[in-house]
Amino acid sequence: MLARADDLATMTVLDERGEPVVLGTLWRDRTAVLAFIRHFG
Amino acid sequence: LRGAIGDIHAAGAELHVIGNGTPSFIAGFRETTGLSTPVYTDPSLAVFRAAELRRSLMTMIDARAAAKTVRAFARGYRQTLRPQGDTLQQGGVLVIARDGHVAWQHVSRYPGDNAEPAAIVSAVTTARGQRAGAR
Repeated sequence: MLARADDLATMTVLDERGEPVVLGTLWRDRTAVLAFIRHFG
Repeated sequence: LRGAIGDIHAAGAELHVIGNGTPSFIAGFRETTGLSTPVYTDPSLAVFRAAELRRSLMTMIDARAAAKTVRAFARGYRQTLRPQGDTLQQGGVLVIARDGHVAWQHVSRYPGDNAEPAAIVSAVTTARGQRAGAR
């Protein structure tokens, strides 16, 4: 199990407009639950 | 997890869904599921790899996955003919505290091996308690 998310923090995902979002911003202000799904449908 | 969103929010966290299709699939996914939480995608699978989630053909060849598929089919669930993402990639859940500490992780071993919502909410509560205790 990962102990820390430091490596993830600098990585990016894309929003629905295709704009990159830095992962670390997701838990900057509150605890984040990241649910990785296999596919969208 | 949809049914646990209220409990996750009440526990002080936000749920972020991360898929792996193209960004254009997100709107349809949101419409189909009715999800109001943030949805993102990682088409390169780089984040899935960094999160140490599983991807292999062997994860698909699992009797437990077959049983889950049969049960889902019986409940009326139908997967689209062209799944919008990588079908070999398995999912998972990470609960990450504000200080970057990974409070809890679930790595799906096969399709349908989903995290228990109660465990996620419990992990969020614990993560927030640890942070409060560290002050």
